[in-house]
Amino acid sequence: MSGSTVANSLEQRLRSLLTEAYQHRRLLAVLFVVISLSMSVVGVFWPKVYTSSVTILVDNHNIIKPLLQGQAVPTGAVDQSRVARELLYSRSALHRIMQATGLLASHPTPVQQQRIAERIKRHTRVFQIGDNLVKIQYQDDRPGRARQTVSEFAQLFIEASLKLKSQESDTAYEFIDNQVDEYHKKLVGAENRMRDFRDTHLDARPGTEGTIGDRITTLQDKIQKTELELKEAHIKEGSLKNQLSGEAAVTASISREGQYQELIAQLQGKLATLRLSYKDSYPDIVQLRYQIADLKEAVRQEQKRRELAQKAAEASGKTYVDKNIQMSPLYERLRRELSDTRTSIATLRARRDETRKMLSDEVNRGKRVSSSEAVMAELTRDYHVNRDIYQDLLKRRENARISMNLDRDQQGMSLRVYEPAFLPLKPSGLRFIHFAAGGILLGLAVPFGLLLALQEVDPRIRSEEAVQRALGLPVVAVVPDLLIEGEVRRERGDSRWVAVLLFLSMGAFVAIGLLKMKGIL
Amino acid sequence: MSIADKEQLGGRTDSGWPMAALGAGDREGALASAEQRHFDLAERQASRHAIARMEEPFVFTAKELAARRLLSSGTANTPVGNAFRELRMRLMQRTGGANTVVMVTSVIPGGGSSFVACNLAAAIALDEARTALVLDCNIRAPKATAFAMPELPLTETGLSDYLSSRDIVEDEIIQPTGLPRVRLIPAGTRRDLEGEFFSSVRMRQLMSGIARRYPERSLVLDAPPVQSSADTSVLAELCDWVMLVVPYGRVTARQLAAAATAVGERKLLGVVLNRRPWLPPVLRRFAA
Repeated sequence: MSGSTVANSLEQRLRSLLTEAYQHRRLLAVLFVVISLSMSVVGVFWPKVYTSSVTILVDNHNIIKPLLQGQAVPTGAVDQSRVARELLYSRSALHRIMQATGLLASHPTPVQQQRIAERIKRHTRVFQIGDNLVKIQYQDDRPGRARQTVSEFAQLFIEASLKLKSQESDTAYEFIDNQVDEYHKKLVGAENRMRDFRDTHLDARPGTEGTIGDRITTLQDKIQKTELELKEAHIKEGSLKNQLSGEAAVTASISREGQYQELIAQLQGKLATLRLSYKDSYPDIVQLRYQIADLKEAVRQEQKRRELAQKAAEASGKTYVDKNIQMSPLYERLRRELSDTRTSIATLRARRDETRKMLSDEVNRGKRVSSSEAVMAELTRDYHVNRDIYQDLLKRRENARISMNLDRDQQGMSLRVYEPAFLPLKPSGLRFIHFAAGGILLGLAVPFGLLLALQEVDPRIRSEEAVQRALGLPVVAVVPDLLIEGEVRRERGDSRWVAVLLFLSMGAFVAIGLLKMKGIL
Repeated sequence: MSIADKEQLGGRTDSGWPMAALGAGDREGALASAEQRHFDLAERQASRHAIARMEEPFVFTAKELAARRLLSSGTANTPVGNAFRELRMRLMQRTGGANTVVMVTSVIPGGGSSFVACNLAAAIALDEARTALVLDCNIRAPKATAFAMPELPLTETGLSDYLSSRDIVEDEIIQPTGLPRVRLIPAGTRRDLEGEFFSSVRMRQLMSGIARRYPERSLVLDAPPVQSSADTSVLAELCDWVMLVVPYGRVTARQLAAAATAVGERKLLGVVLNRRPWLPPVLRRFAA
């Protein structure tokens, strides 16, 4: 439904376009002739443009590269076209181009020069083709100049990029070289500092700390042993003292009593023997009895005396030693032994104290050593770091030197003209035929387009469909314009006029085309 | 004036066509009432004879008509002729072949309503059994008069004079045209008439009178453009049908809608799209 409406509307629009076009045929024809002829005139005078180009191969992959893998860093060329553009659009480069192509022959003013340079820039295109081809294209109205400019550009580009690369590696070498010097200085400084520190801190030798630890352990062992010995000696001394004092005396005293008791027992034995044979009045027996009594008395005396002596000794705090005992060889030996023990105690004490002092000395030394060792470790670390960097830089400097030499001998990146500049024989860009064809098309399209647009915009009724669409009113008749004889003649005359105009313009086209082909225009 | 008299005479000779009891019709009023219902073939035949006896003081040649942009039997088959014949056919279809009063008005001034009115009358009168009368109601700018009868002086007594003066009888204002069986009532000499005259009894009287003068007579009113005159709506009341003339490429849909509303949809027969640009025969079939 809507499709048919659209089709109807389109059909109606075309019909009404035809009607309108016929009505305005004179205007349309004039517009057509003016547009198409003016386009072809523009085409005649349109400057011819000649394009020349040169392709340069930028090769980074040469034979040296695998040989020096990892040794030299080839200076990479990432976006050659950008580099090329920067190089070629520089002031000096443009000036050289102008000089080479004779644009400066007429001695233009700086402003004019600037303008020429701008024009060259505008007409130059630099493309990157693939990874390593750079194409430089230039357009000019003279074919010779186009080629010359392009080849000059190519030469400039090759020279400049080689120079740039060599400069780059030179700069890199210089930089690394400077760094090497600097690190060398740093390294020497670190060495000196270490030496000075060692001189002032003699303890600060490697391994000192271990030795000190061993020594401390030994000393501690020794102290323990000495203390043990000392304790033993004390115990010995105590026991000797006990033997020599109190209880020992009792023993001695008892021994004298014992002598008496022994004697008493002997005498009583003798008495018993005698009593077997004799009467108690027997003198011997009497004597014996007296003797025994005396002895018993002596025992008593002895006991009494001992008690007294003991009491006295206790009162004065001294050990009571019987003189008889003192005289005994055993006592003598004990006393000697006690004296020996005492001597040994004194010796042991002295030794212990000495050892303790040594231990504390050693501990202090250990402390000193550990602090100086921390300082030493730092100095050593500095030294190591500097040394490593220095060694690395040395290696790098050698790499850079090789890279520099590569670039100097033009081995790093090879640039060569892949496709040389050519002399353009045919002009590129828009040609006369384009203008002529475009003019005819435009001459048709513009008036008809305008007419269509006008029809689209104009709300006035031009067809019975419009009436029906707008109001739903029936159209009872469509009356064409009734022309009287003269008017018909005039219409026909107009048509003839249009035909003649179109014919003449075609003639003009052909004439212009022929002249153009013959090269007269 | 003499032409009108003669027509009047011719009219008088025709027998039995019922006439209204007013104005000029009075004279034949006695005959009317009895035979009003019997409109038989014989009478029709008689009316045809009457029409044939209509006096034509002058008849334009085909060339003269063509120069005035008027249809003749010779140009009936041209595109314009066909268009008007179709228009007539449509009108007749609507009215069932009976006599009718149709008003032609343009949406805007200069739309060509006089051209359409006169040629519609001409097309109607191409049928020898029919007559047509063009009533130029455009009193302020009488186009139809100038169109159909350029030779007629504008001082000629016409509609406006008739409406403003009781002394003038209708026979005085009916003028022949160069077209056979087509009569014209010119606009008249007075240019300052107001709308009330069209709604007056005298106007109605005139219309019924001239409609009955001949059997098979159609009345075509050329009314002023809808946009510029209030008379048009008044006139529309007097008519059976209204045709709106839309000049090609000059009227917007909005204007057309306003005009249709002004004349009233009820009587609107339709739109006549006028002055479609002329195309040479080669292009005509693509554009049609």
